[in-house]
Amino acid sequence: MLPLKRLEEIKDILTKNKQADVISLAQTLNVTEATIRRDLEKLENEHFLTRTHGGAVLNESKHPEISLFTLQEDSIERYQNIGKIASQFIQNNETVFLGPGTCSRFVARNLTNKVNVTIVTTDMMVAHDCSLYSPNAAVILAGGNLNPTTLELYGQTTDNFLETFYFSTAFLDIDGITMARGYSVSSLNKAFLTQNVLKLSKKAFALCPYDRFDVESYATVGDINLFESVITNERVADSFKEYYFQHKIQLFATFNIM
Amino acid sequence: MKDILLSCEDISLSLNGISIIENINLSLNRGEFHLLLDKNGAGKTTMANILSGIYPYGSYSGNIYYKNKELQLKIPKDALKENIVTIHQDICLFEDMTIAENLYANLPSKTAPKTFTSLEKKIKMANEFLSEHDCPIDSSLLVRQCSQFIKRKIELLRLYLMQPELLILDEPVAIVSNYDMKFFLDLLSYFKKKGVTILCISYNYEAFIHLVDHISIFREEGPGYTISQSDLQQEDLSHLLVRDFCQNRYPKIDVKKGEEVLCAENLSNDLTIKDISFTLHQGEILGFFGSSGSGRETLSKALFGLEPCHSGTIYIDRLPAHITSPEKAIDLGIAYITDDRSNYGLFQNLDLLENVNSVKGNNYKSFWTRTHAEQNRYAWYADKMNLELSPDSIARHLSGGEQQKLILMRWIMSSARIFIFNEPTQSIDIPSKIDVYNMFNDLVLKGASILLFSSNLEELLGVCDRVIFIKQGLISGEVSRMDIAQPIEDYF
Repeated sequence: MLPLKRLEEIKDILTKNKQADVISLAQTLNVTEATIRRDLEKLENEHFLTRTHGGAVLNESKHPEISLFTLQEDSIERYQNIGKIASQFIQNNETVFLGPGTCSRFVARNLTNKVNVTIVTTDMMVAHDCSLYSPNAAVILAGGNLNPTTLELYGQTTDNFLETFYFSTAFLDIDGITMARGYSVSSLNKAFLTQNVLKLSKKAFALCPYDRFDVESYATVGDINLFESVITNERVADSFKEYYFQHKIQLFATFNIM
Repeated sequence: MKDILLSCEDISLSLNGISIIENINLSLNRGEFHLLLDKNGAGKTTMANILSGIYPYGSYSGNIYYKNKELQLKIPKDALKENIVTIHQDICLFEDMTIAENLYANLPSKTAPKTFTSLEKKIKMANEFLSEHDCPIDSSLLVRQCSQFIKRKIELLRLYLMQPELLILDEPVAIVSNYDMKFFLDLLSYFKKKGVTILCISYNYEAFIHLVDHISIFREEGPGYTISQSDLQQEDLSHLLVRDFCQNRYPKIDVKKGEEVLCAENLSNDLTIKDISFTLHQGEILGFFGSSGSGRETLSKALFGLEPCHSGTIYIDRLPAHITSPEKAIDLGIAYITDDRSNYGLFQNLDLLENVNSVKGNNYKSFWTRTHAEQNRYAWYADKMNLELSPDSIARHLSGGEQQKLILMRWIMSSARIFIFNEPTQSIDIPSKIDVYNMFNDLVLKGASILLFSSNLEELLGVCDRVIFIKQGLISGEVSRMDIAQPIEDYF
């Protein structure tokens, strides 16, 4: 393993566990304890950690924003699959809206082989992921009031700005779907935005991981027949699969077998 | 006031928890010729089976009134007692008996020969009877020795001896070529003139549409509708069938097509398929539509080496391939997912792990079986396919959808790249259907190609890039998903 890669690994382990000891690090990374000590010293100079007797502790206060940019490991796969499937519906030369939310971030990561695609978004995280993973796509970030915890933009300015567009396709993150209340999202602002964008798009997809089905979120967007196409994971409850098929709604479930 | 012979009210039937037909209403007037149509497997055959006593009284819900009395058939013979005669889709004759014995078996007392008639006498009577109806066959032959067509003809001729009051015909002409339609038409007009009520299920209705009094169309959801001859113009009819298709509910991803992976040139066997040519590209889903008996199923089997092909060539990756057995097909990366899952798809009495390992190449080739590696691989795929079943359970107990997933899992493990699906969603529940369609997407996204043979046209138009129509063994037309607006009714 290259030294640089090893440092990254150590950082990962520390971020996850907050602390680590030299012996187990040496075992997992398959190098000698002396090497690990030297690595820890380097990282201490970067103020990433503080060395202790026989190990190291993460400097917690150094990375408060890390929770926004990195995602929980165990849920990444389900978002990734949704993002991959959704990106299949983006054609070259299109203007696409990516709504605020985690699923949209993964759509933005899968645009590397598209030509002349313009992404309009109100989520700074989506813009961040797009420029990091798919730098070939043009990004337009709508202005507005900033929500400091989610880094999403909202408000009158945002709505006015979006109304100048007509999107070929819109992808909208949904935070809860129930048969009775339909689609709901985590804030009123997001609900307004979603309804607004639906009017401005030729085709809209609801993106929703399977564990958000049969869950109600804070603000209602519309009833269960609002979207014509839904993208989710293969584990979604059978009752929804059946309902959607009988009510002529496309349900994409992200199998990733081969 | 019309004289109603048979009326069915709210008939529903479910097998293994899957609803096959739901709330079917149907009424037949005495002496009418009633044609039954649907878009796909919406339960016509099931209805025929209920009326002939194959699904006994009590297995379905709803009421059937026949001659103003409730009809309670416990065994098929009860139907015969009521003079309800059914010609099933498949031949139902005693294969190891002579034609003569078959003709005179189970006849009503009026026409039956005396109890102790010798075989010689029966053969003599039968020969006379057959030549009377312009069908000079030696009736001392065993049925087994006859061709499919002769067998069907014998079944139909037997109707003259049966004196039915209600005649049910389930795809009677599927195996009859156009050349012999006249014989069938004579039979229909004979019975119609005699005042026999006829219920007929058939896609090849053009030839006898002038004899039809009423047409009922079954639909998957919602009630069907019935129209009478006077309201009917022929071009309307096929239009009615496709009228409420909904392509958009099928999850379909357009994948960029790659190289040609399979090409068939002038495939024929001498009987059921003639001069079939097509190409399949990487990442493409190519559908084949045809009613039963059109040669659709034979073609699907021929491509996997299950049926012989007498002429024509198959190219895999532009190289000529001689697919003479399924083994060779598997070596070429072809997978065949059968429509008869319980009989041909799975080993019913083996457990799931043994079932998925049953394809050559899926074994780790070691002396030890049921190793950790095998268990882990099973668990990995089962998790990905959303199949929550222990590898130790027995295949017999699976539902249709679970069986389908298990068969698919076996082929995906074997790293096949051309998948032939024969009726993939027949008799499986809707959630499993959605899973199967989405698995198609995954397969083509990963570079596999799919040949989809189905009698469900809506499904084909929903998930395929192109659909080829097969009629009487020939390709009658082709549509691509993009220009679905063009009239496709002519291809049926």
